Amino acid sequence: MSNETEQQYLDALLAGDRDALRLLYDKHLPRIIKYVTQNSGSEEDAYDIFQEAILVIFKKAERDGLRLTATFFTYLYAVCSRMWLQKLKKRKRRGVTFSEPEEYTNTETEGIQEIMEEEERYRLYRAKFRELSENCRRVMSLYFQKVPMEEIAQLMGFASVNYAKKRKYQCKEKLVSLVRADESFSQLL
Amino acid sequence: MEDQYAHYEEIEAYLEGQLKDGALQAFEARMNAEPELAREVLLHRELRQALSEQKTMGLEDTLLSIRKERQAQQPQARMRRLPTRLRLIAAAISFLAIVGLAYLLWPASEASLMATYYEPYPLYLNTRSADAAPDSGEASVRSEQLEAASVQYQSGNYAAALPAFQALINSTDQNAPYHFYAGICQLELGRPLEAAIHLEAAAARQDAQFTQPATWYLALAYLQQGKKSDARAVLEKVAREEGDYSQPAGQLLKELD
Repeated sequence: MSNETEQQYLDALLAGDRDALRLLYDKHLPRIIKYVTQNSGSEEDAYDIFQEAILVIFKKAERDGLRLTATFFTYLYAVCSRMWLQKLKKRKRRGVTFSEPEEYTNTETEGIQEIMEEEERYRLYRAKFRELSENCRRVMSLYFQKVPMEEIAQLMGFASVNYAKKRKYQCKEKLVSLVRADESFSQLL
Repeated sequence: MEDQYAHYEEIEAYLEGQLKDGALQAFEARMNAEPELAREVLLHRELRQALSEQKTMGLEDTLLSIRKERQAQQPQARMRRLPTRLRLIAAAISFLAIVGLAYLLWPASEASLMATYYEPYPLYLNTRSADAAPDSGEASVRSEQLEAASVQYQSGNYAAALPAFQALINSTDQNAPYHFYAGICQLELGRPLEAAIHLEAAAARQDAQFTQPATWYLALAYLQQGKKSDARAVLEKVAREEGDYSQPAGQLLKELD
């Protein structure tokens, strides 16, 4: 990636290129850690924000065909700082002073707010989905990919379509109850 | 359960555009009148959306694994940077924190682990398989018992499914699956001791399909009884063998350590 353009970071992100993602961590995470730890956060918070910001940028690029008008880091930093500010507000630390360098404040992050809010909820759903059993995850994945119940019964080796439906219901109910039991859920939806 | 099942089916029918005319209008009117229902529909809509975004899920998995790799390399490096005196203080604080946490969490940990890892096993019994028995009269009775057990099990009515599975156990020597499902019923009914007896029998019969699941649930039954060392021994066996439960068994073992 050393000779590649900033836009190629974004292309690598869209392609899910693991090596390029490792480079992103190596190159940009230290500066995000510095920013977050200088603004009332921990290193763990910085990792969270970094990861969440990458997912938000990915979604923005996928939906709206994002073209970078600044460097990738400028954009990443703008998204991270906005997300961190919102997290701190939720933690009721409104008195915190932010060190936000001038060059980053004018970065175009239009239309990102909606995706940020949506991603906050979707991350919770995905995390709870990962807590389901392997069997449930398979049933639910097939269902969400709109595979017909007859086929799901066959693929999963279930005795009947009715049982496949019952199983899908059991898994979904478990997922819904895991999501609802999370303490952050009531503030998100 | 039936009410809730029908409720979910109705929400899904609405989200899939299957409700028509009067049914659709009635459902929308209810959503307008009941904010709780509207929120529930929104949650179901978002779950569908979030979990169908395969590329986002794949990217998040990759990011999580890179993060794990990086963080696994970090603690030693951080520790090396600390001066000796600070290292001693950090070690003392860590020790006290671990002792304190262990004191606070130990009594509840086995039960909560069981709750985290447990869910009823899906029904993989073909009701027609009983027809293969040589004697047709017995086969017919067994088929009816199997049908009854299956219906009750699938409905979550484990108290009614249990006697049917017990009758099936007594009807044949090839009874590993029936011992297994009887064991699950007992777990569901909060009777881990009785569950363990059935699950031990199911595991001992070396049935290709049910031996590993039976051994896994046996470990959970032991955990529910507070028999941590028995659970550990059984989990080690599950973790060593190939199968759907080897990975969760390894994970559970780590949490028990």
